[in-house]
Amino acid sequence: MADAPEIVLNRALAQLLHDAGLAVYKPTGAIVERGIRLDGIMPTAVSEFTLLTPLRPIPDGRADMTYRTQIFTRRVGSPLTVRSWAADLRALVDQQAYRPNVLGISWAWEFSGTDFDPDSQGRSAVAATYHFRGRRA
Amino acid sequence: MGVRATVTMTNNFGGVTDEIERRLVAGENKAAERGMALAVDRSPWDQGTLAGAHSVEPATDSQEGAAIVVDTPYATRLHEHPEYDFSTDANPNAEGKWVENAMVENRAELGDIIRQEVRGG
Repeated sequence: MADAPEIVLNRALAQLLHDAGLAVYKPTGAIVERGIRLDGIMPTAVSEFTLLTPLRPIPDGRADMTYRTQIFTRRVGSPLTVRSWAADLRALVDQQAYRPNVLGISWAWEFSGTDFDPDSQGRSAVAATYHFRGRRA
Repeated sequence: MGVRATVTMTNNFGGVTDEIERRLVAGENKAAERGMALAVDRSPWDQGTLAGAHSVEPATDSQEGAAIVVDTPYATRLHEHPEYDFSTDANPNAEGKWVENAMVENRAELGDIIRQEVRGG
């Protein structure tokens, strides 16, 4: 059974974040600090992590599809720490063409976002939802 | 002696645009009410507090627009965790991102509500 298009997208996104130094993508093996995951929930074993959650794609006309992904990242530090991380992510993906270069994606943009104050262990978090206009797979 | 003719037209463009603006605001408010209903239908449900905390902040001008507000301390945290396995006992449609999903997935219907209102109902 072939992977769903949103899984293909998130895998490419994880590699993109890895290459940009925003996360550590290891598809197999133990969860590592600053790791990234494409499924499940935020792990409790590490303090800093990124979770990609696919949201339902929205059909757009006859042949296009808007793919959606929420990128949730936790970092030790104040909200400014995660806001800086979100700004780096924005510079990498927001308002960019052909990024990542899968599913015929022609344009990407940040649709929504918010950040969270530190939890009891001093970890702040940021949630950013990105939309990707691509082709129906 | 020359002849001079002046062509003028009395118009009411100011009144027309005011009426369009009024209808646009009304359309945005109706769309927000519909959007809120769609969102509540997908909100996580334990004792109903979260679902009951939805409200619409009506638009006063078309540029500012209307807003759907969920006013509980934990609403944002729940909303931004679409990976959570929310209980579907009380609401089989419960999910994270319930407001955003409802608005994005039904944008055509919400747009139609505004367009119909602007055209005069």
